[in-house]
Amino acid sequence: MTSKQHAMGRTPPTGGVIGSIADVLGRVRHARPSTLLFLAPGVVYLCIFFVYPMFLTIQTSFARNNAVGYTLDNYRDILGSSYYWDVIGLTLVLAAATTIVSIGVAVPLALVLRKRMRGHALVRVLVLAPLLILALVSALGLLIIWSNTGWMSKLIEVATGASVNVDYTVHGLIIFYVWLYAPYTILTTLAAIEGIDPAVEEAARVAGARPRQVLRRITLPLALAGIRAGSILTFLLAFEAFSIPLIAGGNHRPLAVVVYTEAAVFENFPKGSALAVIMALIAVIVLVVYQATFSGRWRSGRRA
Amino acid sequence: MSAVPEAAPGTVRARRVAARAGRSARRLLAYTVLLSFSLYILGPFAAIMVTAVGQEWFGGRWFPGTWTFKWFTFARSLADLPALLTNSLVIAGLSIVISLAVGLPTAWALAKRQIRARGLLIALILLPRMVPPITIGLGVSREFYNFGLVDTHIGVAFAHSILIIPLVVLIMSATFEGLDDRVLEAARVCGANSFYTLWNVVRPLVMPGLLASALFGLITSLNEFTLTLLTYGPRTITLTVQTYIAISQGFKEVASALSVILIIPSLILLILIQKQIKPENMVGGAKGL
Repeated sequence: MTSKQHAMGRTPPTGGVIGSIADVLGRVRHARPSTLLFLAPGVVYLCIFFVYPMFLTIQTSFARNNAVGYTLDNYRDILGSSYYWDVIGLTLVLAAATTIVSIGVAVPLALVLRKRMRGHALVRVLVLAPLLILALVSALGLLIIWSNTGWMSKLIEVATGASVNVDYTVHGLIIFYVWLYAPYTILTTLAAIEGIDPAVEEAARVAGARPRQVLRRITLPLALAGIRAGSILTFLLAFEAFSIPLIAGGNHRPLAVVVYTEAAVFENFPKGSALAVIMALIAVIVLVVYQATFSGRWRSGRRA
Repeated sequence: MSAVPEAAPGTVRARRVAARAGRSARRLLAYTVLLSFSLYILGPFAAIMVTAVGQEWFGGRWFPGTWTFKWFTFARSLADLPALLTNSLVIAGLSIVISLAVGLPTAWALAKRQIRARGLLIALILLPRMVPPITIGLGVSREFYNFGLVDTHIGVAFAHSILIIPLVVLIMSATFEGLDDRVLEAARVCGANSFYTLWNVVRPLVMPGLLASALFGLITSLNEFTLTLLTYGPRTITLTVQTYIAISQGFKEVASALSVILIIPSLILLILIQKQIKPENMVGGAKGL
C-alpha cells in the first residue's frame, strides 16, 4: 500500500484512506475529457478579440496613411520628433509622481487604520469609493473642488495665504490621478501591514529598537511586497489614463490622449497605431523592469 | 535623605505624564490623517451635490447664492436617461454572461487540471489587462468596423469582456482551487451525474466567487470608457460616454445633476459589497495582476 502510494507520487499525511481516495481521484482525473476542451473557449476568445485586434493595430502602424504599402515612416516620425518624446516623458513623469505620492499616502494611512481606532471602518469604505464610482463622475467633482474658485483652492489660500492654480496643470493631473488610483496601493499596503505578525515588531521593541527603527527595519520591509503589488497597478493605471487627461489635462496630453487624437481627430490611423504600439511596449517593459528591480532589491535586502 | 523618595515618584510621574502626552499627540496625529483623507475623498462628491442644486455660485463665494432643481430638468431633457441606463445595463449584463461563459472553463482547467505551460498560460490570459486599452481599442474598432459590430450592444459587450475575462479567470480559479476534490468524489460515489454535481454541489460552493466575478464585471463594464468610446454609436451610447459629453460641453451644473443620478447606483453597490467582499481581494480583481 505504502509503496504503491510512493509509486503514484503521493504521500498523504494521514493514513491509507485519504491515500486510496487520492489514488481513485488520480485515475478519475486521467479519465476526464481533454483539458484542451476546457481551454478552448478562452483561447478562441483571446485570439478573436485580443490577438487579432493587436495584430490589426500593429499592421496598421506599418501602413501608409491613405496609401497602399508598408513603411517604417510612422515610427521614424514619432521617434525623430521631440514632440512625441515630450509626450512619452510627460506620461512617465505623471505615472511615476502618482505612484510616489500614492505610496506616501498609503503607508501613513495603513499604519493608522491598523490601530482600528473609532471610525476606521468608515474610512475603509471610503478607500473603495474611487474604485466603484464612475471615474468621469469623480473627475467632474475633482474639477469643481480644485478649480480656481473651488473649496480646496480656497482652503489652501486661507490656510497658507498662497493662491494655487491646478486647472489644466501637471500637478493638477497628479492630484486627480492620486485620488483615482491611490486606492490600489492603499488596499495592498493595508493588507500587507495588517498581515504582519505583531510579535515580530514586539520582539524588535523588546530588543531595544526605537519606534522609528521598528518602522524602518521591521514594518516597512515586511510590507514592501504589498506596497509593490499595489503601486505597480497605480503606475500602470496612471500610465494608461485616458478619460481624466482628456477632460482635465488641457494642453498637457499624455500618450493615450495623443494616440486618440492622432487616430480619431486627425484620422491618421497608422500614426496613432504606431504610437499605441510604442505605448504598449513601454507599459510591458516598465512592468517587467519594475517587478525585477523590486524583487531584486528585496532579496538583497534580506540577505544583508 | 527625604529628597530621594520624593524625587523618585516625581520622575516616574513625570515620565507617565510625558507618555500620556505622547500618546494623545499620536492619537491627534492619527485622527488628523484619517480626517484629512476622508475629506480628500468625500470633497468631490460634496462639490457635485452642491453644484447640482446651486445657482449663482461665483464671485469667490463658499456656497451658491440661490438653490434650484432646474439642472435636473435640464439633464433630463439633454439626455434620454432611461435609454442610457438600459444601454449600460444591457451591455454590462451581456459582458458578464460572455465573460463567465468563456472564463469559467479556463478557470476550471487552471485550478483542477495539470497544465504544463501554466505560467505562460496565466501570463497570456492577463496580457489584455497589461496592454493599454487604447492599443487594443484601435484594433478592435477596425475589426468591428469590418464585421459590422460597431454600435451593437453585443459588440460593445464583446469589447468589455476582453477586460473582464481575466478577472473572472483569476477570481474563479482561486475559488475552484478551494473546492475540495473529495466532495466531488463523494457526490459521484453517491450516484450523482456530472450535471447534478455541477448544479447542486459545485454551484452553491462557488457562489461567492461567481457573485464577485459578476460584480467586477458590472463595475468594469459600467466604468469602461476607452473601449466604449471606440466601439459605441448613437444606439449604444452609455452613461459613461454621456457623462463625458456633458462634461466636455462645459455645463458643470447639468453634468453634476447627471452625476448625482449616476452616483446613486454606485453608492448602493458600495454599501452592498463592503461587507461581502474583502477589500484586499478587490485589488487583484480590479486590475487583474
